Amino acid sequence: MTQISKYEMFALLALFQLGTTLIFGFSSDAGRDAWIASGISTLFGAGLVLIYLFIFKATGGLTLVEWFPWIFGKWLGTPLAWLFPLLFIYNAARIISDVRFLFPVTILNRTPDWIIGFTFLGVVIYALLGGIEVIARLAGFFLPLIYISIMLEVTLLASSGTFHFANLLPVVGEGWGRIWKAVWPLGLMQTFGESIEFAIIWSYVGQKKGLALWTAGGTLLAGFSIALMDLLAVSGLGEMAFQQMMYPAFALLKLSNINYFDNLDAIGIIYLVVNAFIKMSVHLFSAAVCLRYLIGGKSEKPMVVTASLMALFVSMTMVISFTEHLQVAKQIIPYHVWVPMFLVLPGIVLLALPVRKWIAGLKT
Amino acid sequence: MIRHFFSWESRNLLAAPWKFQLTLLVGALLGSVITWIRWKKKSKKRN
Repeated sequence: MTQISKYEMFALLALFQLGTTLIFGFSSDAGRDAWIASGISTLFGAGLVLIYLFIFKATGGLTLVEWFPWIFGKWLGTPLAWLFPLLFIYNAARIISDVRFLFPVTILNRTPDWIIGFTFLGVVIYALLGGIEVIARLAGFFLPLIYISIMLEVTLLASSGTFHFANLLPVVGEGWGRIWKAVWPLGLMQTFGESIEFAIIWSYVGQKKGLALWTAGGTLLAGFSIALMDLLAVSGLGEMAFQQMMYPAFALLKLSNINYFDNLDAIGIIYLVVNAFIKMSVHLFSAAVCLRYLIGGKSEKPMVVTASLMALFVSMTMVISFTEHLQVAKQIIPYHVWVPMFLVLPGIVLLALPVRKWIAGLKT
Repeated sequence: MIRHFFSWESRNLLAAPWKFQLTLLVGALLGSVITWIRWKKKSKKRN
């Protein structure tokens, strides 16, 4: 069986959680306190991901899609299990849409967005056909590069006097209300709730001893990196610009002006390409594994192609205006889809676990 | 009209999120029928 190492899982998790949120300005609704909202989301998020890991271990290593038929039986459990691959395909479609809209406004100005979406997805499919170990090894290779880029960015921006930490003051000046609003549900569900997909990836990790430590470590690393980027973006751009800009990370990178090191947009492109690639791959791979189990296929490869084509179709038909696309991510999906699927359903599974074990004990 | 046909289209999601939830549920039920048929065929083969 295919196996990945704990470091590869850690890298996959960290890059997955960094995702495209690094570009969009995570918790921007909290204004200059976005970094506090990100930090709080990270702590709760780490707890949530550890709950997913606990369920994974308590079910004896069953993957997410197997939890529901195992606990609720085939008549109720199967429809619940089917909800997840459908949602993962939708989530992958959202990433394709992000890429389709971000690339033409940053580097590929006159390229039709459908060509960008199609070619990006083609690369993802090609890598996925190699199996999860290929994606995991790529993640293991990319993670240090991303952090070297972040350090380089911080150094260059700091040297050019971009950061004005007075922009962060007064800390919690407008109360905790808007911070909690940013944490719940968007801050917690986006990125950390989505990590429920690792209830599939964990089954591919060879040595499972210490998995909780690596998982918590990956989550905290990604979460606190997002908080740091928020802190730097607010101090560099100021609260108003941070909240109003669609891509504050790109705007921040343009502020560097030391001799030849100006316009560091390329670093932003690296973040976007790597993180979108990993996130989309994990979404599509998770959907493919779920579909293989539910349809009873022997290999994931045909399912990867099916899930990818479905995601492309959904992406091509989902967005008319990018503002609305972002509005959906902030106001609709967290409340109407992510909370029920990433919190309520796993919560029911968690509560039903002892009952299921008690019934199994009675039968034996 | 055709632009707002799909329940996952942003404008539809903003106006009526329940349509997307319903699509997910219907999709899950239709998929379940496939799963039940395949599992039944498999168990028959074993017997």
